[in-house]
Amino acid sequence: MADATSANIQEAALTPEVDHDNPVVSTDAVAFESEMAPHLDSLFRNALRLTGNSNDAEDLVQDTYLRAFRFFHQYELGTNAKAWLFRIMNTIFLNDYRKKSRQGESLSYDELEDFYLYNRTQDNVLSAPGSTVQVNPEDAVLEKLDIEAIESSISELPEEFRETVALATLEGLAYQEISDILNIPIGTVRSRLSRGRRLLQRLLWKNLSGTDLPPMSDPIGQGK
Amino acid sequence: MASSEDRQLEQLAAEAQTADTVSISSVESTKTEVTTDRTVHTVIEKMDAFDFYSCEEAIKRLNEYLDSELDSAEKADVIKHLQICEPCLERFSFEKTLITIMRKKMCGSVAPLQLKQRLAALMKSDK
Repeated sequence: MADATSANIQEAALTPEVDHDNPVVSTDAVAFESEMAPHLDSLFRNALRLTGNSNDAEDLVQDTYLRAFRFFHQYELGTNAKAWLFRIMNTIFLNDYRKKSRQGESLSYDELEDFYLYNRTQDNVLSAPGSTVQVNPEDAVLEKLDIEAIESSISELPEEFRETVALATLEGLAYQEISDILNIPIGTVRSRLSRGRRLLQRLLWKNLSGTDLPPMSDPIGQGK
Repeated sequence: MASSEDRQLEQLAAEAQTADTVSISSVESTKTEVTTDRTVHTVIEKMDAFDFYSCEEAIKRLNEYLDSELDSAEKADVIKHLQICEPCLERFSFEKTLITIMRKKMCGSVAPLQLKQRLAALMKSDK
């Protein structure tokens, strides 16, 4: 389990201009809380996605929060606090939490279909059990979307795509912010998003319709 | 007497009116040249020649469009395409709604109250 006090964080990666010998600890807890506390829900969701379980997620949020408080003096008021917190969280996670890097096999995602979910609504209307009311097929799918289906689909994404897709799609962060948080080039953000969102739609369809993905074009390798 | 081609052209011009003034002038100038053996394809070719994105070009920019990452010129070009391409408009709208709904639903997933209370207490003790 990670420990905030013993965490070997690469602080330079978080805050390149930090003075390691004299870290100034902000005592302005009120200002910190008013700026950062509104993002606790987002932080917790992100921690859940990263760790995959509630206990580690709580620890990760706490470590992130304390680390952010310690370096609050380096936060520029008026900039995106959520992006700043996510960047700290990602660094702590990579250093202390990630058990082992599961390097994804080099799979080709080139043949992924655009508009997968929309296209399925056109060729296979979801039938609501017991319902006789004809509804627009797109609306029928969108109405079935719930937290569970979204969370499952995101968590089933290959690791290399998961955070990029979640940060852009669910958290509404800018590409540059995602690039900073994950420490990857902005072009990589674009390409991961392009393939990751198409994969996400396949998973959403699988989880919403209860049908398996077509095995032939199942690049995730999780088809049953 | 108005031929059927003329009527088709008028209809296309009317539909194009929602696109922008460039396309309208393009359609009208073509209409003056059209003869009975020319069809609406002439209009479409003219419109294509006028910096309209193809479906492929528009779809290539789907994510950046959805995430407000396009510059204003590129965004305008995507919108121009959507105004003349109903299938793309439907798909882009679906994607936009999908993201909006997912984002909204996920706001219902919140951090445990105990965690929030614990952090608030830590802040106080750190003061």
